[in-house]
This record gives sequence, C-alpha cells and structure tokens, in this order.
Amino acid sequence: MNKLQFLNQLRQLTASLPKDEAEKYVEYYSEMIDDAIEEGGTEEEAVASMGTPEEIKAYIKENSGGHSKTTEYPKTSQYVPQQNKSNKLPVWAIVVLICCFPIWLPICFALLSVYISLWAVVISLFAAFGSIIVVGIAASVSAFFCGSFPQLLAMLGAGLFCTGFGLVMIVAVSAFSKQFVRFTAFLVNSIIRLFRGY
Amino acid sequence: MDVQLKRGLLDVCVLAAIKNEDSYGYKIVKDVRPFMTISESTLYPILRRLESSDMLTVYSVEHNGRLRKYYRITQKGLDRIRSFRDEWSEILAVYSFVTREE
Repeated sequence: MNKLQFLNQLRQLTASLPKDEAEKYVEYYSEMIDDAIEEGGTEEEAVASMGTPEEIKAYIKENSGGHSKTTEYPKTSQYVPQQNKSNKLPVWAIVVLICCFPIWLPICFALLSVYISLWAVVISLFAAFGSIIVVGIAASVSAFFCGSFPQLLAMLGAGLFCTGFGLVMIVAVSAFSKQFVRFTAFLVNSIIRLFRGY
Repeated sequence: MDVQLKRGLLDVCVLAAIKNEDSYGYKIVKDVRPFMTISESTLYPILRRLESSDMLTVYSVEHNGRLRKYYRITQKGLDRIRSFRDEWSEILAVYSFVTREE
C-alpha cells in the first residue's frame, strides 16, 4: 500500500468523526509516514509500520467515543449537575406555598406539638419503667429484712419480677424511640428533597 | 503490565521525551520505544490527551517543504513529571522493603 492509498483508507475510517478531528488524524499519519521515509525506508515500509488498517480502525474506535475516559485525564470533579430537576417543586408551587403561609403555618405548629407530645409520652414511659426497676431492686433488697421466710420469698419474687419487667419494657421503649427518630429523619429528608430536587 | 498502569506510564514517558527539548511525533516514538512498547498509533491518542489536559502545546514548523508538528511541554506537564517522580520514589521504597532478603 502506498501513502496515498493509506491516507484515503484513513479518511474512510474517520469519516464518522467531526471534520477537524478526521483531518488531524490524516495530518498525523501523513507526517509520520514522511518522517519514516526520511529516516530511511521505502514508502511501502513506512506505511506498513503504521499498523494494519484493522489495528488503526480499532484505535480510532477506542478513542473517538466522544472523548471518553480513554482520551481524557480524569478530571478532579466529575460532578455533573442534574439536568432534569424533576423532583423539585416548580417555582409557581413555591410561590403559592409562601403566599399561603397563614394557612399551613398554624397546622405545622399543631403537628409539631403532637410530635413533641409523642416524645413526652416516650420520656414518661422511660421514667415509669425506670422507677419500676428501682422499686424492684429496692423490694428485692428489703426482702432480706423481712421477718419470716415466706415474706422474704414473696418480696424477693415481686422485686425481681418488677426489675425484670421494667428492664424488658425499657428495651422495648428504646427500640421504639430509635425507630421514631429514624422515621423523623426520613420525614425531614423528604421535605428537604422536595425543595432541593435531589 | 496492567493496562491502566501502562497508560499512565506511557503518558509520562511522552512528556519526558519532550521535557528537555521540543520534539515531533516520529522522534518521540523512537525515544520512548526502548523503554515501553509504543507505536505511531498508540502515540496519537496520548498526544491528544496530553494536549487537551494542557500538558503540552503543539506548533508547526516547516521541514523539507512540508509541515511538521512539534510538541512542547507546559508547566503542567512538568508538574506531572514531578509528581510521577515523587510517587515512584515512594513505590521504590516499598519495592525495596518487599524484596529485601532476610
């Protein structure tokens, strides 16, 4: 194959690329061939040293994928801002929301107080079962000060039962409150996402 | 050799080939060839990549009635060589440790 044939074939291989890119390929290989000839060698040899058309085709394909990661150094920040903010509330909705605040603000406060009272319930449950545990321990200890053996047994039994019951309920309440916290976080995130869009 | 590693090494090799003086494609291939497998076709995308990362600039010079493209390293390219050097002195230290004889 001579230089002209090679370059024509190259033009065919790069036909699908943008014009200036295709032209750069031709310039590059043309120069390479000329330099190879200058260094000594025939035109045929120079063309052959460029590689087979299949190889060059593979290289072109590999490197022309829209200048993908094979041709670009990885940029430090690959973040591409979301083009379609489909999750975000449209502007008019936000404006309506702002105008209607006399309506939803009191509702928000009401909901907030319900939420706070729920936590109050949780706290009181903790306190209640905590005191049951304390009572249980106290009863178990004071059992040993009882006069008769049956009394001791009764007190000890009651005391231990209270302690155990209190502990179990504390565990249950803390598990529930953990879920409650998670649920709250989820709610807050969803609301934030409505406005941010992601 | 690992493909990614090879690619990174080739990039630095090409930069090193133009570090001390501007050079052109064919000569770069000749200079790098003793050290790494490189062909005219593998050099091309490397040059494009280095150019788009501003690690080298291109200009044309007339030579024997035709235009020949010369490549000149930029400061960013020199920085790349420096960080390669620093990175690899660390790797060499690890290598010495790994291959030490007891």
